[in-house]
This record gives sequence, structure tokens and C-alpha cells, in this order.
Amino acid sequence: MHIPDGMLPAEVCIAGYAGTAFLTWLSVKKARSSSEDSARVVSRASVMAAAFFVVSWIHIPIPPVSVHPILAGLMGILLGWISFPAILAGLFFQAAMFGHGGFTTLGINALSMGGAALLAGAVYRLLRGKHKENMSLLPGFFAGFVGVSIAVIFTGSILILTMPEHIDKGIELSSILAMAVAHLPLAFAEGFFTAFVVRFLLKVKPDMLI
Amino acid sequence: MSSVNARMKTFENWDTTLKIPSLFLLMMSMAFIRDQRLMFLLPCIAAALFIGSGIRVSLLLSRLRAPVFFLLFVSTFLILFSEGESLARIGPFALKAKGAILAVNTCIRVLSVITIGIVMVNTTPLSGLSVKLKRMLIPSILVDIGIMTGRYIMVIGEDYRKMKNARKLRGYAPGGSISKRFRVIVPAAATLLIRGFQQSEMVFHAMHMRGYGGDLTHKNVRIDDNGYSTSGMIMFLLTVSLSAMLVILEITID
Repeated sequence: MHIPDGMLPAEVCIAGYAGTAFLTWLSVKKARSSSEDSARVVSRASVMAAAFFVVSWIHIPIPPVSVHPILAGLMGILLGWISFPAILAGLFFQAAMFGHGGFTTLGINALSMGGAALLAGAVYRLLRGKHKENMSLLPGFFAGFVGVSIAVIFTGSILILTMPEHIDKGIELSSILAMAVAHLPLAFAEGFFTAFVVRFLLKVKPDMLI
Repeated sequence: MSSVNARMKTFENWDTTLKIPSLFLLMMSMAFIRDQRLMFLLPCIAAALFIGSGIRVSLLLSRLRAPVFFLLFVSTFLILFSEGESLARIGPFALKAKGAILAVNTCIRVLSVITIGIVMVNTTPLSGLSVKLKRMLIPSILVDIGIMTGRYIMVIGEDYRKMKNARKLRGYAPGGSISKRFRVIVPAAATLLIRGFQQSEMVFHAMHMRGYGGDLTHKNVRIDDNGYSTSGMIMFLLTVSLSAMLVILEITID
């Protein structure tokens, strides 16, 4: 899911950084305007990014294998606008510590995962409406599902569309579709995982849910 | 051994504020290269920097594990679905000559750029990194988030390790049905998130009490300019020239 260094042309990497810079600025601005000062933004984004980083080490079972959760949906639900800088920090450490993703592609990877988190958070809040307690499983599931799906489609599209022009256009399109279909089990698993975590949090610590 | 240490020292002494931008620029310019005739330059540059840095080969190999799977997927795609003449056939699949060349070029470029990234990260000392990053005009709020994330990954990672040990001591054995595994991993994940949330509240109060005022601009950042070492400046100029040369060659080669 994370595009490594050297895979994308420099122009795309620069565009990715520009998009990420804009979304980071917008996220911090929005988070501050909702009565959260800089200290709250920094503490919430950094500590929760670390928590999500550690949670991503837990494997979700998809028989016959198990996979790491992506957690874009859950981050969008719990952190709202702050999820974008938190994901940016998490991706930086994944690149530095484990070689997942890269430094030149950090902007594109952040746009893919961070954008998915923002959209998934919005989907959750839209579906949940005002009734926080009664509706937890379905909005949680959709947020997790949407988070993975958007990230996969964005990453796949960027990868395939930036490949050299020797690839047939029809094959490009069907490859993006095939990639999305191949990730469906992961999207379902992440959807269920997100839904159950949200339900657990609603019972134990409901003030965590924005 | 002593020569390796001396080489590492040279790279570590290369001023961070010059090293990170110049190596990043080099990585970007290497990502810009698409012409096959220039491709041989990339592994040469990467190898020279890697050998110069004195980093262990085992570290390089461990960092390359994740991207190698990605490269395998992309290479297979390119070899199978490129247009042009077939090189050979395996069952229903035709292996394309043009795709094979593209795949080799992609592998060379990716592995070279990743190697430079590994050199950049593993030769940068952590002490004083936040001030240096702010000197490089990276918004202070992002630097603070990055530095604190790094610190709390260790703290929450330790919590996770303790939870796993406690689970083992209570006789939990991994495996079983999906619902049984979900019943274990969901509370574990949620508990870690709750701990993170509570920790973030404590950190917020501590920062608030100290009058923290992180900003997206640099008006509150104190910048002490101690000057740069001569060797650092030479390395910087060499790397920037190399990056410029690569870009110019790529544009003008035809």
C-alpha cells in the first residue's frame, strides 16, 4: 500500500508534497478553529499517531493469512482533521524505521492514506448522525471499508497511471479494478475491525469519539 | 573496523541542515531519470554513498525487504502487460522484451533511491534534530509532532509488549476461529488507543502549562547559526552538483 522511493516520477512526488502541504495546513487550521489550540493538536496528533503505529502491528485474520490493519478509517473517526498530520508522522516513521513507503513518495502516500482517513471520518459522521449510542457497528464498518478502498484505488491509480506509456490503456483500467477487487477481503476485515473497536470505545470511553 | 568508524563519522559530522536537503534533492533527481542510457549512473552513485557512509550491509538488506515485494509485483506487471514484441512464453503469458527492460530500469532506480534514503536516515544523529529541522524551514508544529511521535512509539510499544506478555502468561495461544481472535485483538487495540488518548491529554496539559505555542510559521523559532564545517559544505556542493548534472543529462540527452 505504501509506494516506495524511486517508483514515481519526480514531478508526481513534488505534486504529492504540494497536496500534502495544503491538506496539512488545512487540517491544522480546521482543528484549531474547533477550539483546539496548538498544544492540543500537537499532543493529540503525535501520541495518537504513535498509538495507531503500534496498533498496526496487531494482525487481523483473513484466512488463510493475517494482515496488518491500515487504520485509516479508525483514525478518521477518532481524530477528525488531526488524522492527516498524524498519518503524515506515522508514514514518516514507517519509512525511516522499516523501509515501508519512502521519503520522496511521502507526500503521495500521505495524500492516499490521509485523504482516505478524512473521507472515512466524514462517512462515519454522516452515517452516525446525531444518535451516537444506537448506531455504532454500521457506520464503523463503512468507515473502515471506505478507508481501505479509497487508499487502494488512489495508490493503484497513481502507480498504474504513472507507468510508462508502453502499457495499454485498457489494461491500465482493468489493473486498477483488479487491484481494488483483490483488496476487498482486506477492506471487509478492516471494516469489521473498525466497527468492533468503535463499539468497544462507545461502551468504555465514548468521549474519544468526535 | 576503524576505517568504517571513520567513514561513519564523516557522514555523521556532515551538518544535518546541509545533508538532508542535498540528499533529498539527489533522491528526487534520481527519481527524475527515465532514460535507459543514464540508468547505470544511479547504482554507482548509491554504492559510492553507501560505502562512504560505513553502514552495515545487513541493515541495508533488512530495509530492502518491504520494497522488494512491491518491486516484484510491479516488475511482473510490466513484463506481462507491456506492449511490443514477445521475448518468450510461459503458458498463456507472453513475456515482453520492452516490459523486461522497463522492469530492470525500475528496479535499478528504486533500489538506488532507497539506498540513498537509508544513508540519509542512518547517518543523521538524533540529538538536536528538532532545532535543525526547524532551521530547514519545516513548520515547527510538524517537527514537534514528528519528534513526539517517535518518542511515544517507544512508550506505547512497550505497553503493547507488556500486554502481549500478560496475555501469554494467562495461557492465551494464538490461532482458533476468526471470532475468537477478534475477541482478543479488538479489546487489545482499543485499550492501546485509550491509553494513547489518556497519555495525549496528560501531554496536552503539560504543554499548556509550559505555554507551548507551536506554529505553522517560523516566527517563534530561535535560530542559532553556528556556521557550517568546510567538509560539510564540500559534500553539500558535490551532492547538489551531482543532482543538477543528472537532471540536465536527462533533459538534454536526446
